[in-house]
Amino acid sequence: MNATIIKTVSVGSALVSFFLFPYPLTLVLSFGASLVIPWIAVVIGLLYDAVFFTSFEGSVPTASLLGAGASFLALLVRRFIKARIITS
Amino acid sequence: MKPSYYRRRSAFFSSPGRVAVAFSVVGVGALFLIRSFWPSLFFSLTSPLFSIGNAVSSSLVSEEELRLIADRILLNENTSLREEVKELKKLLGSEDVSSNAVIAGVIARPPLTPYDVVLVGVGSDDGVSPGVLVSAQGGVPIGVVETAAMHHARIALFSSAGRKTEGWTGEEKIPVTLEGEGAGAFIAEVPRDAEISEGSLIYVPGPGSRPIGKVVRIDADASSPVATLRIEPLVNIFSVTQVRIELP
Repeated sequence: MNATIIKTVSVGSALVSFFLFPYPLTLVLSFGASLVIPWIAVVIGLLYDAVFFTSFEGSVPTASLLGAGASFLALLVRRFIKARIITS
Repeated sequence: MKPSYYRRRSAFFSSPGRVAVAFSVVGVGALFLIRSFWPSLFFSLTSPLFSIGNAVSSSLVSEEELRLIADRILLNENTSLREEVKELKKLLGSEDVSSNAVIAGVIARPPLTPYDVVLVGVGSDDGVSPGVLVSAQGGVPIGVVETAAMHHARIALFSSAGRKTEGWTGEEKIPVTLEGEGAGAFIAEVPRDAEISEGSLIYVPGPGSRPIGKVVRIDADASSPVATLRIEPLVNIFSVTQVRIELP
């Protein structure tokens, strides 16, 4: 399949999921999309916190942190896959 | 011979990667500033899209489920009214418990939203302001308005993970500090010898005393001076469609 189509579908589904589906599903789709575009999980995490985060004593912006974690993991996976492709 | 110098390549970030990091840092800073000075901007912009999702999911609820929800609402209303009558009998007109309120339609609720947050379709134009109490159908308090835009408001539920709310339980009105567990549930710690049984109602202050949940389990360790109450909400926050917002 064309790389552009894969990028569009994965990022689009993660963004649509933000408005239509439960947030755990969006988390999974964001991680999937971040394998194609690594920074998308951070963006979606930030979007969640921008819209929903409520600050009170002891509250933590979990969505942004999870997004950053997912992006970092996706970067690692991408590096690993690239290294495997080069060595094989 | 002229020595050659090689630039060391970063293990994680290529040159475009560094540009992306720089953009991300600037983006996060901008978001933080906007969120601090204009907290209602983002949910005002996204609320119309959530309304579409809400309409789609509402059309999928069966008649049987709607009847069950209606039964639960009537049951909660009955419990709430019984408590209100009891309180009024005690007060005998010494305190005004009447209130002015507005009914708001819910446009996004858990599990679509994280952090136990609810978005509703009324805002400052309808008199809603931050800090006012919000109840579900049946008069059960569920949270407070956190931010109000012109036509939308964001409600922080009492059950948000880590959020603390003061309340009481039992005939002797034993004070408890409810701690949100997420997904509508709470825990609270009370002295082990306090006379609380499973099924006891938990109340929070509102106009009169309002039941918020009931004790479903008591975890008491013989070596500990306190017992942990596991509290189930009276309202299922995953199916709440309308809320009542008390106006100041």
